[in-house]
Amino acid sequence: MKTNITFKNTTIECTCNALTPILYREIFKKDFFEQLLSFTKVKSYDKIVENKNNPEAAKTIDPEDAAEIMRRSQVISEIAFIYSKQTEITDVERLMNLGKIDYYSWLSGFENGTFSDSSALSKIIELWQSNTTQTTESKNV
Amino acid sequence: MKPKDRAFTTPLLLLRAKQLGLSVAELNLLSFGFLMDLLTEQGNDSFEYPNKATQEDIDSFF
Repeated sequence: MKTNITFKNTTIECTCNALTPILYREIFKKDFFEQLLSFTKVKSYDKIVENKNNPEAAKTIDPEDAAEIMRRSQVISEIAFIYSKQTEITDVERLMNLGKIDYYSWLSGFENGTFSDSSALSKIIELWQSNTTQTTESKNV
Repeated sequence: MKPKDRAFTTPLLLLRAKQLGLSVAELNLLSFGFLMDLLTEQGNDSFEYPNKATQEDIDSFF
């Protein structure tokens, strides 16, 4: 699956496939599926992010919620990094060896807060979901 | 669908892919959905399909 995703004003060419979770695990030492599932635990994520951008409302944000925004923004940017590199680099060995240094230098090219935009999460998940379409039914149900 | 208590993780994904005989490089050519379809079909291999009646069965019935 290949598409362009715009985060704030920056458009990134993105690709994801069956290798994406393995690359994510290899480069960031975290489980891709666990990270995606964790996004469903806090229902008011969009509201929290919107409030963060409103100086008055931001004062009322719980410190735990603020920490959650930081964590989520990081995961979104990590997944966007993998998506982006899968488009740029087709050599699997090179992909597997992308280190954290590459990630931080890639991240420095973006405006601060790019990946905490409230629409960033849905764009990341939409691309992953478009990659999960199944056509075969199990006979063992 | 039966409830499952085993979480799907990345190591489990790679294990299943290797059981299918796929290399890491080959995973770069497949969508995740296609890989899951392959696993479903692998599971279907062990399904006991009901026997279809042959012409001989029908003839002996009448």
